Amino acid sequence: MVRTLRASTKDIRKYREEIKKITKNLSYKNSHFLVLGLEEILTNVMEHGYRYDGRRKIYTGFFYTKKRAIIKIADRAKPYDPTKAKHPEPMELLEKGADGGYGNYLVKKIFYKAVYRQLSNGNLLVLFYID
Amino acid sequence: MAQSELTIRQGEKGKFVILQLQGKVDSETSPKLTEALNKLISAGKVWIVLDMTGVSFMSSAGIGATVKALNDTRSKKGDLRLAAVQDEVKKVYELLGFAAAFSFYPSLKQALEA
Repeated sequence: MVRTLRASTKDIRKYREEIKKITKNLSYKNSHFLVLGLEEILTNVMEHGYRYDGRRKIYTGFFYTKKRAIIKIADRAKPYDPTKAKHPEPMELLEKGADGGYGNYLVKKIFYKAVYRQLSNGNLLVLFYID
Repeated sequence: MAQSELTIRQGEKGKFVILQLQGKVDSETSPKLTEALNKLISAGKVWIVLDMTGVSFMSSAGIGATVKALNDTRSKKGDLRLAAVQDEVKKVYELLGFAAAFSFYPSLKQALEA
């Protein structure tokens, strides 16, 4: 499934429902984790890459079998490699009572592997999910 | 629930304020939860139970809202209790290693009686 999203929470919600629908034949756990992982990644791009500018676009590809999935996400934001970004551990954040910073850790836990490539005009992230 | 997929109903029992959540807690709706929690804590109501029977999805934004409230209530000698959390939502807390940090209860009744 290939989709182009605008940088808005409305589009994330629509995409989430679409992924939920097409993965309904997978186990509930797999479907839920894929939806959650995508929500986190897309929120990250929209918030930090595009500042929720609804004119900006994100290009997605979602390919799956019963127990595996490959997701491609491309954007035209400034170069940013999420696979190399350093983030505090969740317990450190919890002790500080931080209300954010958990998304990247969730993505790392949900996806088996993430590969980043800087494009001439943006970013490409490929995520691999294995049950 | 087209625009905002989260509704919050408030009730009280004894020293506890109960927030009954219905819908999804994500980057779009979590500010609503944060606002409700902040309002209570600022008013000195630091014994809070979130009845999460109706929460089918929670992203990291929702987790963040509960982490902040947990910290704020406990620093004021209160607590934030999570009741009737659906398995897939609880799994998100577990993925982050927060299963032991929060007080989870199978039902609202048990959260109020513990």
